[in-house]
Amino acid sequence: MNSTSAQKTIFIAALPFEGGAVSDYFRLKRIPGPLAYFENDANFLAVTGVGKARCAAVTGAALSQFDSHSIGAVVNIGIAGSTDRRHRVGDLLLINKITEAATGRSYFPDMLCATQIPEECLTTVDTVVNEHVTAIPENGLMDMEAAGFYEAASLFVGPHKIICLKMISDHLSNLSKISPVQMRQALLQNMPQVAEYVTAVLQCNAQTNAIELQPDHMAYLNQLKSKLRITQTQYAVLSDAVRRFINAHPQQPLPDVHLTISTKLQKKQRNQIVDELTQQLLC
Amino acid sequence: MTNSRNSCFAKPYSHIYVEQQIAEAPRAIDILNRFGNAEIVRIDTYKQVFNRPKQQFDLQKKSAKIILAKKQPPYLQPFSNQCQKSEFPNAVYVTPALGCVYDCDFCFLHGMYNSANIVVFVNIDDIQKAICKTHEEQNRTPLWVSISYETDLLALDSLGAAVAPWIAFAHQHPNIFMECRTRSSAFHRIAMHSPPPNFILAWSLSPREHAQKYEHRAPRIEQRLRAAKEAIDMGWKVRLCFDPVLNDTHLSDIFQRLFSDTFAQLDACKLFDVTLGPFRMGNDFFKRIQRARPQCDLFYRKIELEPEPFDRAIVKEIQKYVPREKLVLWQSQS
Repeated sequence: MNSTSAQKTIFIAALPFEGGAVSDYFRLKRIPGPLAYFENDANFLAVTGVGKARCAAVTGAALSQFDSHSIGAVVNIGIAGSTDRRHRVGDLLLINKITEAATGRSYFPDMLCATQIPEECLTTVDTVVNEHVTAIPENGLMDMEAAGFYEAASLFVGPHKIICLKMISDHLSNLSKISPVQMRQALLQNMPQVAEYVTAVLQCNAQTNAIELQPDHMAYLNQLKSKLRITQTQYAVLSDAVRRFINAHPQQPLPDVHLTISTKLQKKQRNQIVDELTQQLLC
Repeated sequence: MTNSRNSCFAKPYSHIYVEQQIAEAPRAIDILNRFGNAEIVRIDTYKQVFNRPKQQFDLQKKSAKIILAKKQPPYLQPFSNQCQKSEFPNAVYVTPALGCVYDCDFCFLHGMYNSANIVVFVNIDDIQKAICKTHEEQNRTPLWVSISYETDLLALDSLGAAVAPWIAFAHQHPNIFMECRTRSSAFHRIAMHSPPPNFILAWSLSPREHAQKYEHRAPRIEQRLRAAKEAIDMGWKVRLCFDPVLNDTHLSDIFQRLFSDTFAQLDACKLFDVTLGPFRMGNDFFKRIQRARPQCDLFYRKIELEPEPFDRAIVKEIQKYVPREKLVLWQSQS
């Protein structure tokens, strides 16, 4: 993305040519290692391989490298077959419902952002489907990864940060006629639209009132936790008080009380310090 | 479909999630017809969308969606002890909808639900049958039913006739009393109906200072008072709820103004009654809202969640306008 925000957009693609389009568009650099990761300052890409199990595993592995507050959006991008002949090969569609064919379980990304990209539902199947197979689960699009992607991504972020965008590759009949090179090129042509939508989602999400604690706030709280040996409840109360303080006094540093605290204090004294600090933060 | 107030957001109700089992129900079709441009997404149960984890309530409020669903039993619920004690021993609430179009900071719904989307249950008949059954089982002793408890039903009326079926039901069952609590000014949407004597329209009112600060998207107090006056003039039973009374440094002054403005327009003798309720909320809900709304000072004051007796000055002030027999001070259900 063009955003200079500290948050990263995480792209998840199954096939190398899908990831290639993302990598080309954002000029991502390969990260050495066993998994196919690429990144630049604002974006990160993981290429997972085919199938929902691989996709879920690599999505989870990729996202676990980040603090949840540093993830701006998680985007599954790739190709999908369509049962609907009105969709043309090369069309980009935004997915509003993902159903896992094997379990019937459905997932719903939030659709908060205005867009011109047409929407469709998608079914994730376990094996390649073609038009001669009678048991096509539901009209719409078909892929082999999105359900695994969503399930893994939803462990890390809320539905407002999960995006699934698919380009029509075939109508379950002519898959072999289009080469990966052509697909990569077609996907690349759709990337400006993808980038525009992701930017809009990031803009929407930035309007939240909820305050996510930054690493320095977490360090502050953790220092208090170890020095004052506070309970989980006290930690939660202090975290809320810190959020409130950041909101009320965005320019001010957090009160610098913890540096002078001795660890030899009695429990009663420590609790008193926590209470006083909470009140100080809430003032 | 952009939302003009927040240009990157889709318009409210840009999507309608429809439970497969009620997709052909007349009320569902009526609502879908009202939102012809909305994207329709089929779901198995409303909980798939409404109960998702990690939803961002405040973002969803900027582009809320409608979920059409079938209400499953139990249809009737007892009041929590946070509710105003009813004068009827048999008092229940029903939920023809979940969620509200307004965004009041002090509302318990923010702490209760994960989602700001609005669930509309289309099988009102089933809820009404359950009310009748309970009424029969209780030997037709008067039954009090709140129909606008986890929503604002009058405000929702523009999504599809939400109140009219209850007015018709009230006419058919004179011994079942219904309260429709609202902050809406959309009385005109039901003004064409003849007022049932057992149907109480209850307007929640707050001082202007509090309404501006905490009652986002809700109509102004003047609009609510106009709607209430119109309703009284047309023979409807109207209750005024000064609820919640939020603690404030100039509480007596601002309530003095509110009472004075209110009763300059409305004749207290023509009201069904007037209730005065403090700010109260379950501890769990309070903590969840506190986390979600760090910008709202209400949740960062030293606050007693168990309400204390009212400020005498406020009670004294309201008694200048409201006869004692029409004044109901908050008492817990328990």
